[in-house]
Amino acid sequence: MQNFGLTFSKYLRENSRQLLIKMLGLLAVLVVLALWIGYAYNMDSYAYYMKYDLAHSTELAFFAIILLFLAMGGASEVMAFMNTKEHRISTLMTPSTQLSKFLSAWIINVPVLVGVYMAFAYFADFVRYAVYSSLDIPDTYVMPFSFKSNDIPSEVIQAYFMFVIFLQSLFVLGGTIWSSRAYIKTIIALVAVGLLYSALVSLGFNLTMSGGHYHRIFSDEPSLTAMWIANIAVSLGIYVLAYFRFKESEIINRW
Amino acid sequence: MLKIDNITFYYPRRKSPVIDGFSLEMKPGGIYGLLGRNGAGKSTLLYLICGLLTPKHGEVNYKGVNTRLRRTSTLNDIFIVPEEFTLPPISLKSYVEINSRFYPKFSQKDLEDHLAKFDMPLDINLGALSMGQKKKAYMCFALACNTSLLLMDEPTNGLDIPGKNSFRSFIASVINDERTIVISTHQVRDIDSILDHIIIMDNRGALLNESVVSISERLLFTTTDSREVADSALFAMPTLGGYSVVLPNDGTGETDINLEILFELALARPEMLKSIFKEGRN
Repeated sequence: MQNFGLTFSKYLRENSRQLLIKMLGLLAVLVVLALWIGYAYNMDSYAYYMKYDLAHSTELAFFAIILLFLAMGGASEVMAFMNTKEHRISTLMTPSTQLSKFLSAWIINVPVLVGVYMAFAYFADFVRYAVYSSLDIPDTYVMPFSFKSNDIPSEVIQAYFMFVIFLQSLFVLGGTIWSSRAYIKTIIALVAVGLLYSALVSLGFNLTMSGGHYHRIFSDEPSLTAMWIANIAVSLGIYVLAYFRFKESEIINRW
Repeated sequence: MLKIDNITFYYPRRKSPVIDGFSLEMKPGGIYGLLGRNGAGKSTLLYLICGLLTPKHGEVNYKGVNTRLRRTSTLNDIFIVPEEFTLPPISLKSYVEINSRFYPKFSQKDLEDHLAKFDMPLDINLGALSMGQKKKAYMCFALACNTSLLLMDEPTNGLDIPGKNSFRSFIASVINDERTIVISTHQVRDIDSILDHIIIMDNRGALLNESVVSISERLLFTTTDSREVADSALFAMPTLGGYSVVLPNDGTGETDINLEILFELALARPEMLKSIFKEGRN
């Protein structure tokens, strides 16, 4: 445990400058985006009569897409400390367990990054609300964003986050396979696998057709809990694969 | 202490091994010079010792533990100063504060003494240093960690002349019976005066693995302008004004070792060299 603490502290302090720059950049982008969305939608009197802040749905869409790309990018960065021979020597020779090294990078670039992003997104929205509500624009309706007031089903939110978790595990695995430009290469690999999967599923559907009737391959919808368990299990499995690949790393890439 | 047992190593997509059936034992204490041609596998051997590469066959054991396992207890007792390395853009003071805690035998006083030898302060920003300055700072930290095994790959590359002089003196000052330093280099003149043990290798194995004392007892290194002496020598190399020659030591005395000519002799007549030292042991 002490060894993990030392390793985590080392990772954080040696990367503090670039992490800080990234976070400040992210915050700036979100605040500017929220203000721009507010400019586009919070000047409209239609919202006043509908008692609905029109900026919310656009904000949600943009922020959700940004989170997706950010989550993928952050996950790709988990293995950034292995992207050159010099970094590999430094990382592998640090006297701590491979698990400590892996977890230290994973914690910062995966769950903490998403948590910080969510906090920043709420803050950016609050800035929008503070700015446009203080402008005293007549016949406008400005409210801070909340999932409850926007009637977004919790299943949709949960499905989205399940997808983000799964995607992040794939990008961490991609980072252990490709030491440079892992982000782009993982996207290409996923697109290729996705196309192959679609082709196979489509072929499978065609094979099950008989007399014009469609035979359902899948049974009834699984419960949300079962989906979460399956999602976590698959993502964990991918993380374990990524970890063991990292654990056996050398200063050269064999495959 | 360090046992390299019949290791063979291939780089990916290469048909011939870089190191083939190599075995070596290093006892604790002393400064080992690791010499060899370009591509002989010196750096590869250092990486194999650290567990940074996996041999196809054989294993490397340090104090009885396979280094490929990369146990914390092994890693905090081995330090490698590679030929090229990166340092984070933080102050040296912060770097030491963060990394020294991984090495139980680290000494702040030793660090300050080593930095003083290189005339370097502690409160410098690593990101603003030249390569030579980074190397000095990194070597000072490496030595202050007081690991039992210190590996250095081309340590004098990038050092200025005063730096090289300082390097020799401060390496010589830190050696003790429990500490082994292995220096891999082409720049033999930078280290010839501080070595206790010389290993000359090619990819077939160690062509020479002897202590400096043993070499001095069996071989004489001298210069001559006599063609006859040069022709009868074990090895002769033309120099200004004559020849540098290696002669068998017939007990008349000992001379300083000329590493350059010893290296050439080992590459040119490895079997003869082995037989000289084998006879000496018998």
